[in-house]
This record gives sequence, structure tokens and C-alpha cells, in this order.
Amino acid sequence: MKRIRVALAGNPNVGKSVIFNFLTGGRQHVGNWPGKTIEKKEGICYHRGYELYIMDLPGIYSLTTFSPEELIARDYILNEKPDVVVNIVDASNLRRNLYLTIQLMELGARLIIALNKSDLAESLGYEIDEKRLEKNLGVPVVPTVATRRIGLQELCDKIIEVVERGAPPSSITYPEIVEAEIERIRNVLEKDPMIRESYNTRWLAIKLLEGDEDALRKLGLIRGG
Amino acid sequence: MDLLCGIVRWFMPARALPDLVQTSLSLDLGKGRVPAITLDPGMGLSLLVIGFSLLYGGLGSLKGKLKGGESFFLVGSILALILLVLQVLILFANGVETYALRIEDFSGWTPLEDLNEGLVLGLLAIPTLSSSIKRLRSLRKTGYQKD
Amino acid sequence: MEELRKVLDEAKNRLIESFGLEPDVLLPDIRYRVIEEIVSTSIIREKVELTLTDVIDDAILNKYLGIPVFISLAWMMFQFTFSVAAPIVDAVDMFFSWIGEIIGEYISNSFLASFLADGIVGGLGTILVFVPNIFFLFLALSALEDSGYLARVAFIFDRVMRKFRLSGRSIIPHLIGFGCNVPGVMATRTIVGENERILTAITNPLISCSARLPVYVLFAGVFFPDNSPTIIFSLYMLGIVLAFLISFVVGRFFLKGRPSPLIMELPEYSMPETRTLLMHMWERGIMFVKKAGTVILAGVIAIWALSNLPLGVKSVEESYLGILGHIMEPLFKPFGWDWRIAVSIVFGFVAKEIVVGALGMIYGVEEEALENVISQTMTPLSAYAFMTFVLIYVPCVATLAAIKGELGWKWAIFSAIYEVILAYLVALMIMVIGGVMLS
Repeated sequence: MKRIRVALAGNPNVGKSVIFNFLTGGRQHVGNWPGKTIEKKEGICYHRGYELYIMDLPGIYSLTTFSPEELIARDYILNEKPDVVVNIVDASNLRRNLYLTIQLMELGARLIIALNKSDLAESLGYEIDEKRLEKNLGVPVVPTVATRRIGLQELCDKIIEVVERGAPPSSITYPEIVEAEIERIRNVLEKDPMIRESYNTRWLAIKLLEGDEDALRKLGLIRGG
Repeated sequence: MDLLCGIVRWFMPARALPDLVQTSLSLDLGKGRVPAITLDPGMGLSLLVIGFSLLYGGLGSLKGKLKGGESFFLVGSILALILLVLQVLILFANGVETYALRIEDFSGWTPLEDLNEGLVLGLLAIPTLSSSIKRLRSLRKTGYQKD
Repeated sequence: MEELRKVLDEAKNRLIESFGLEPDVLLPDIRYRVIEEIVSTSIIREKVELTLTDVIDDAILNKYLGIPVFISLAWMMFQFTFSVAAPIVDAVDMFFSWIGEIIGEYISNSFLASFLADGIVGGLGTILVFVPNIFFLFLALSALEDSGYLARVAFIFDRVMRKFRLSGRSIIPHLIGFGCNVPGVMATRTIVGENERILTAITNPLISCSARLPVYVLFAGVFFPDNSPTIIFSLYMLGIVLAFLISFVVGRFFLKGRPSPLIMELPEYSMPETRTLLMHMWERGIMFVKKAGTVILAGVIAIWALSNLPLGVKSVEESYLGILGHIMEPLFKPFGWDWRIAVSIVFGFVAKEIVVGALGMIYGVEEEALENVISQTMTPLSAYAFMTFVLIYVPCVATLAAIKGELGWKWAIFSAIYEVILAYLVALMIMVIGGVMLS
């Protein structure tokens, strides 16, 4: 049975746990991330002859270094390199949720967006053009209403499709001037084979530029702590 | 139906008034001395809050205000309802203690003892809540006005 | 490395030239611009002006009404936790007494019988008797959380808390502290500013956790039978007031800097789902029970051992425990507490739940009898002072460990010391003021 490794990422309170629970049912294991008191939830979902191994990452708003939850999530995606990252987005709060999405795209994760709480958004008066959103982001968008189990089958189908198709990693392009700087930094980073092997250099360049403490520390540019 | 709602709207704040007076009394006692007097400042405060919300909200609602009017009325009703549920549960719990478990502390208790203002206000809240929700629903269809 | 540093600096300068912003602020800004572009073309219609949530929030977040509403809801929560859970509590209590009696009847070896009945069953029973209260408390807390109200609480108190060098964020660990200080302290981890984190964590133990409940319920029940929920409520309030006070004092005089601004999301209100509610209640309740099961059982057995050794002692007073108590007695003279109370305080350090079990053991009696005995050895005033003392003094070991884990030894020791001193002072004040008021 072919195994696909999936990571669930999203803001707190978007329905991530609901989706996780419905997909994995009783086949889940709850523990702790090593050295921390943050819950680590992983589970298995069988779909159309595939085994989906699902890791529920902590709810986060962004991928900075302020909280252990954010570090856990980004380290997992960077080091474990899951086959697919499903970004669960609250349709009734698009702007705030997309902040994380953009950063996941900086990471170059292979992304699928689960546009959850579509019913809530509708009742609030929102009308979202999912196809347009898909096109703008360059990433598949699956509308879901997790609490009513709507869209979950389609989500699993999409996960399998994206893996089998060998879809490219997501990416986001910034204004030219910024891209130029990113590229310059990247070139310097690429010169070191060890860095080139271990990291996604584009992401690292962006993070260094941003002054991300964890990235700076890893490269020895500031003292560790 | 609208007329009925209108009457209910007037009625509720008026009913809340005697409760307000009564709860002010219990609140005053609440600031009183330790330990002898039977006091219940928590209940007093809750009733005050609810009473005030219903009164103020009711008046504002009659003037047609959504914020500062209907909103207070709605929240007051919701709180009163929660209080109602609470009082009913306490009533039930006390009943269990007296009749099922035969705890000596409760030997003289009867359900009548627990019929208090909270219960009454809570019961009154049922019609106020439903009228409030009805009003809000109809407002929603025509689009809320920003006040 | 040097080349990297150079490139980064150059990039920074060039970006400042072009955009007028430093990269660490520029990048988020650019992200938001990109998002706006994406969203504006993807959303066909935005939300209707006001939602039910907005309407409700108009009242809940109101400048004047907000806090009274909160206090009412908090009071209702406590009424629910104590008065409604009472029959279950009493039922459990009766059950454990009954088991204790049976053991007494069927086991002949009196030492073993005592160990089983007084030590294990008595100890466990006294504590587990309050488990229903805890589950009810967590149920109510979960309801407030899942409905979305708890987020509002942080918002409402933000303005007030700024005066005490905290932000509204601090209120959530404190709220959790009502269930148990251990997760409460751990919850401070998510607070961004270091000062806020410190202040919230070291004042969290002042919030009456559920472990102190057994002491409150017992003493309030004995000395203030008609008003026990109110007395208990007053103790909780006292804890909160002290938490703010200490926060202010330490923040003002010992720490530098002000708290960071609060940017919070307020989720839409929704009816909590029963299943999720029960799940939350269960998860948190079980954690407490596990803690109770191990730490307290060990503690109670230790107490039992100390009170029954050296072998053959005829009364508790002569045992190791009694000796310890007499040594401490003079410290507590002003409160009118005797050596037995003194000893129970020592054991409260291990876990506050043990205090009641310890008292039971020390007096050599069971629950109902305990009530009678206590009422003879204390006055209502000194009982209230005692409850306050238990409220404030040293956090239980588990909480201290949590503080050490979050902030380090320095703050953990500081917490322990300041709390003992504060406890003593406040209890003293109560005795004095009470004495004046009653005469």
C-alpha cells in the first residue's frame, strides 16, 4: 500500500482538529513533541488504496520564532519534508489565514488549501470565487465544511492526485527589487555545499533578510541561546 | 404579532423593575458584615446586571436602536436564561440531596424554598428572548443599520 | 560568513532606500500586500455589516457593562460547580465512608486495617470526593471557552490589566489556574513579552486552584454553612485581587519595561458542541485526577506513616508528626491554630489537596467527624484566616516545578518565599481586622 505523508497546518480554531478527527477516526496517537508540552497528534487514514499518514501540526498564525508551536511546525516541514501540506483556511477570515499560507509558499511546501467553514462564510455574506483563488495562489483549493463532513472525500482525492501527478512545490513571487536581494543572498548561500544540501536556500534567504532569529542562529550570525 | 411583541417589550422592563429594587437590597446586604447575615451578593449582582440590561436595552430597543438597545436586551435575556437553567439545576440538586440522599443538612427543605427571584426573572426571559430573536431576524433580512 | 553578513547589510540598506522600511517590517508588509491582491480578486462579496456576534459584543464588550457581566457569569459558574455538583459529591463521600467501615469490619490486624482504611481509602476518598466539583468546573470553563466568550474576557480586561503591567493575554492562564495552577503556569508560555510572562506565572498560584477547594469546602461548610458558596467566592476574589496587587508591585519596582500591545482575534460566537465540551472536560479532569492519584496518595501514606510511627505510639501527638507540629506551633499562635493545623500546612506544600486528608489523619477521624472536631478547635474568624493562608502560601510542588520550568530557579524560589510571607501577613491582617470588627 502506497504511503503518503501529510501535514495539517493552519490557524487555531479553523477546524483543523475536526478534519483530523474525521479523517483518522480512532486511528490516531496523541503524544508530546520531544522536550515540549505541546500536543503531537498523528494518525492514519485509508483512502482508495493509499495509506495517508497525517501529522496534525500545532495551530499557528505565522512561521516566526516567537512561539514553540511555530518552530515545531516549520521544523517539521523543513526536516521531515512531508509529501503534502494541507493548509486549512477559515473562509470567513481569509486575509488573516492567508498570512500563514504565504509563508508556507515561501517554504516551498507542496500545498493544498482546504477552504473550511464555507457555510459560515456564506452565512456572513461572503462569496468567494474558489477557482480564482486557486489561480491566484497557484495551489489547489478544496472547499470544505468539516463539521458536516463535506469536502473531505474530495480533499483526500486531491491529496492523492497531487502526489501522483508530481505537482511542483508552491512558490510566491515578490516585487522585483526584493526578489533581486533574495537572489543575491541565495547565491552566497549556495556557495556552501553543506547549506545547499540541508536547506531550502530561497526560504533561508528570505528568513535571513527578515532577521529571523532561528535562521540567523543556525548560520552562526548571532549567538545561540 | 408585532403588537404583541410591542407589548412584551414594554412589559419586560416594567417587570424587571421590582426585581431591581429587591436585588439592590440584597446587594447592600452583601456589603454587610461577616458572617451572620444571609447574603448573596453574587445573585444580587447578576440580577442587577440582567435587570439593567433589560431595562436599558428595552428602552433603547423601543427607540429603534440596535446597538445600545436591542443588543443589551438580547444579552440580558441570554444571561437571564442561563440563570434560569442554573436555578433549575440547583433546585434539582437540592431535591436529590433531600429526598434521595437524605442528607441531614437538608432535612427541612422543600422545593418552595428555592423559588427565588432568579427563577422568576429567568422564566420571564423566555418570552423576551424569543421576541428579541424574532426582531433580530427580521432586521437581518432587511440589512442591519449601522447605528 | 563575512560575505553573507556583507550581503545582508547591503540588502538591508538598499531596501530601506527603496521602500523606506527595514526588512523585518518590510517583509510582513509585502506579504500583506500580496494577500490583499489575491483576496480582492477572489472575493466577490464581503460580509454583511453586522453579525449576531457584533450585536452581542456590543453589550459584552461595553465599557461599563463588560466587567459586571463577567463577574455575574463567573459567579454563576461557581454556583454551578458547587451547588449543582453537591449531591454527587455527597454520594461519593458516603460511598468512601462505607468502604472504610467495611474494611474495618473484615480485617482483623488493626495496623493493616488502619493502613487500608485510614491511609489508602480515607486519603483517596477525601480527595476524590471533590473530583465531581473539578469536572463541573472544567465543564463550565470549557463551555465559556468553546462559545467564544473567553476571548472577550481577555479583551475586556486588557485595559484594566495594563495598569498592572500586564496585557489582557494574561487573563487566560489565570483562568486556567482556577482549574489547576500547573497548566495555568504552563499556559504563560504563549505570552510574548518576558515581563508579562514572569508576572503572570508567579502570580498564578495566588489564583485558587481546584486543589484548594477541599479545604475551602470543608471549612466553609463547617463555619459558614448558610453562605459557603459566597465565602468560597470571596476567597477566589481575594486571590485575584492579590494577584493583581503583586503583579503591580513586582512589575513596578522590580522589572523594567511595559507590556506589548494586544492584537487579538475574536472568534464568532457559537453554541458549544456537546461532544467537544465533554471531551475537553474529560481531558482536563483526568489530568487532575491522575495528579491527585499519584502525588496525593503518596502524600497521604507518608502522613499516615509519620503519624503512626514510631511503632506503638498511642496518639498522633506522640508520633513524628506530632513532634513536628509542636515545633511549629508558636509560629501560628496569633491565629489560634494548634499544632495539628501547623502540620497539615506542611503537607499542603506537597499538594494542597492533602491538607484535608492530613487533618483527617491527624485527628484520627473520618470526614463527618472531622467537621465536628474542627468546629471545636477553631473560631470562624481563625478558620477564615486559615483558608486565606492556604490560598496564598507556597505553591504546591508541581506548580513550583512548572514555574522553574518556565522561568528558572530564581523565580521559583522567589515565588515560594514571597508567598509564605504574604500568606502570613494577610492572615494576620484578617485576624486583626476581624477582631476589631467583631468586638
